[in-house]
Amino acid sequence: MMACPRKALSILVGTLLLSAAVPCGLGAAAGLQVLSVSPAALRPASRADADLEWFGSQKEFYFHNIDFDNRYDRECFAPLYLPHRARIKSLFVTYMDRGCAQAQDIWVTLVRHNLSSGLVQKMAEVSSRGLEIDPARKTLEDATIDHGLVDNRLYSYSLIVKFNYIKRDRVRFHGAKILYE
Amino acid sequence: MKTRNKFLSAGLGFALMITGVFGPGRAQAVDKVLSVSPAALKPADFKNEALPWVSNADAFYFANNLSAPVNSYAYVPLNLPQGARIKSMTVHYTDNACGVNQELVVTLMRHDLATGKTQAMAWTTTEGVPCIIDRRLVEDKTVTNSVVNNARYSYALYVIFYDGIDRFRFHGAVIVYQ
Repeated sequence: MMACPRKALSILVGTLLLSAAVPCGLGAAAGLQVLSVSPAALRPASRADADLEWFGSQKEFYFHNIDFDNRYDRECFAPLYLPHRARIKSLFVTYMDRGCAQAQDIWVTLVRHNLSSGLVQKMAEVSSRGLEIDPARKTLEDATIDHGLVDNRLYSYSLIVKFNYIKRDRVRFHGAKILYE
Repeated sequence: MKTRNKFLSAGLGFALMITGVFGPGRAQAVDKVLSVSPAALKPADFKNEALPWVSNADAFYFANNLSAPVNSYAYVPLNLPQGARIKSMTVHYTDNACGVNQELVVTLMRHDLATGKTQAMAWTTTEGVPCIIDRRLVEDKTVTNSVVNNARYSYALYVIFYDGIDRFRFHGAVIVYQ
């Protein structure tokens, strides 16, 4: 009669001791998670930039410059809400670049900003530099992440999208994906 | 038999303690943290949108005319997890403005979707800290209405730049919750 409860108790003790050896959250393989960034999250960087002709929707963000004698570069920003203590694995950016000039391209940089010191550090970056002249959507990836561990106590996170040498509406940002564990 | 049972009970108690079922570590839930980039701020309306605002990865501010500063307002929409309990709000800022009325006030607010009533949950101000070029932070740990209920409320940060000029800037906020 006593053997059964004692055995059950022993099994319970053994199970608990075994589970204690595996720290919580580390036992299971960490799964890959994805954060998508809508082009609608992008905003011009200032009042002055907002006066330019820009378009932001659920499918794309771009500037439209028809003053061909005055091509300009502009940066836009999207705030990012990354999970605290996540480890960033890669940045994917989908874009279109049918710019007819060598300098006409898009640069996308994932940055962290030290809230106390103001230091802004690059974590990942992709660009469409070169002459593409292709209306197709394309995707670039950067899997070499610097400062990959998210620390929301010390840093805020943003995506910087830079449109270089803007002419017409030929370079567009369609969105980004951030893979993390 | 009694000795054996005592031994097993002690073993069970020890096992439960080290696995955290009981013991000191169990009661304390893990803090989670949300950081708010200054790039998330939006001028409050078309009048504030028309002011000379600047927004990037490290700061948001209104660069109004030094000789004619105006109160300027901005918001950040927040997506907080349902059921989370907000523990604190920390705001990082620079306040190098020397005017008596020039200060930055940041309020974490909830808005009752049914009634329209808005309530402050946490509040910070840079009042009384003028003319300092360094970055500083202020924290509010006395959070009211702290449990997030997305079925009834929406949430936002409300940032007021009293006499807004480029000498005081919002650098970001950190919200700690469980």
